[in-house]
Amino acid sequence: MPITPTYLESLHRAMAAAGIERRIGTPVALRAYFQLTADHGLLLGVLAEAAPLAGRGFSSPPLRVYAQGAERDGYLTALVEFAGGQTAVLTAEACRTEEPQLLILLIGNQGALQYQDTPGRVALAGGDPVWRAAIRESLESGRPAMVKHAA
Amino acid sequence: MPRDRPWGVLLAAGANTHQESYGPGFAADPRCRVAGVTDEPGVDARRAALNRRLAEEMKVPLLPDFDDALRRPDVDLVSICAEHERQARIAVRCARAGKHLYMDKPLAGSLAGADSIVDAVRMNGLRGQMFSQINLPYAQRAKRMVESGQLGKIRAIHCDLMFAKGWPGTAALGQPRKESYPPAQFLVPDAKRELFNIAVYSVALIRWLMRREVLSVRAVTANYFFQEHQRRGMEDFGLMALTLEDGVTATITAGRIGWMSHFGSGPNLTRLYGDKGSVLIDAFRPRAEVASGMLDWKRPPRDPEDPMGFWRGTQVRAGITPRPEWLTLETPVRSDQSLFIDCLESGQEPEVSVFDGAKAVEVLFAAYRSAATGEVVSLPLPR
Repeated sequence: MPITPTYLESLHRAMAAAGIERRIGTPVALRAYFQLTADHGLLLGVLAEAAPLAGRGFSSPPLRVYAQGAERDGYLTALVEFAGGQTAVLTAEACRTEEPQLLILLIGNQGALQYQDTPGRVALAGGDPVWRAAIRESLESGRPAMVKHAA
Repeated sequence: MPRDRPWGVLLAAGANTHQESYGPGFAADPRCRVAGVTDEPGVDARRAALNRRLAEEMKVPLLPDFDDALRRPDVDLVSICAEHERQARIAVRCARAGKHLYMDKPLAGSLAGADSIVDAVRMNGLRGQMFSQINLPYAQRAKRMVESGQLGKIRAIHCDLMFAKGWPGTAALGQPRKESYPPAQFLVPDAKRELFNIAVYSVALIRWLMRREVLSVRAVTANYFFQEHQRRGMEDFGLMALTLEDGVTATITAGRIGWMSHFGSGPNLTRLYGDKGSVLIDAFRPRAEVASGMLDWKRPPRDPEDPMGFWRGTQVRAGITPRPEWLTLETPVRSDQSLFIDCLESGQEPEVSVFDGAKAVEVLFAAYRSAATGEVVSLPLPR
């Protein structure tokens, strides 16, 4: 039985299908803000789902992650480096009065794409366990963490 | 008490610097009179010619003898826009001559240089301001949001500031940039260290909004767009993650990403996250979006003296106007130059003083150290 893709997975597939590279060149950096859930317990999962999708978009394996924030207070940010030199800054915040929304700024070496959406209630996958572990390690140590054997 | 004469402004260094904006900014303030353009003795022929060019364009005297210019009783302040390596040397001489300082950003090209400017201003009882973006509508909006209390206690702030200039697509991609520390050169005619050049606005904004010091920095630098930057060993893009006093966190993305990458001057987003609410401030909203067959916008031709389009004068000479597709209707209430004159007249400390500028330089140097080592760097940095 096919697994229904999550909102972020669907968005990733749609962008890939839209031929992004023909418009902005080779993707090199990503800045994304996610307010997709009111549950602060799911924020780390949002980052752990978005980070490997970014890596797939960059066609590059991960290198390391540096994370900041406080889950209980509803905000986390991950600064992610990929082996090919690409970078991403991903911020997940708990929705409060706002409806779920996201803003993506994808930078290519010849242009940029900005995408904003208010998708309503979305399904979240919980993220890649290796990424979850690396983000958690960085949050707890206050230092960058290597991302090992990520999907 | 009203002054019996205008504030006399001396311009140190001329064309192909931000003096092309600051000089006319002072000249447009009716409280000021620009005395002329000067510079240190011994500048190279290119710089000398560029200084002469700005003096001619502004129709003010070229004052080739730096010390004579500083002795003039009709000069009260100096606007200093030299290469970063020269900023501190010039600023200290001006302060010793009793002149207030209006400084280009970043303040200086070294920690020692930045410290010496702060010391010279304090010891001589002067005022010093570093150029920033705090007078721009987006920054004023952020300030109002913070001060209103609507967002509660601010927990995190994120600044994304990129400049849509230059001819991209020529950098060799495929591997991480190897950063070196300390950075030694910041500006050449065809490249700038863009983290230094652009993130300084965000560092100054974050400190101004939060009134807290930066305690640690993690940063990454990159070469994504321009072979010119790569060839010079200068980054064209960078990321920073900051920890401030009281547990506040912040991120900065900054870079020069190429003509045509934005309908405005480049992405400029400020995200404030507080314990009662959050807001995203886009410097290009509110805006009207225009689509019309009457509109036409082309990249400026490459100017051999300024191939990246760094300077305002290059665009003016090429007849380049802002892109027409977006209309943002807000304008700064006052120029940054007029804010400095306000401070001189009121006796108040500038909101982004040379002290704040020195703090920003320290944060940026910590960022380069982090990018070079891969580690989180704590402040203050050792001297």
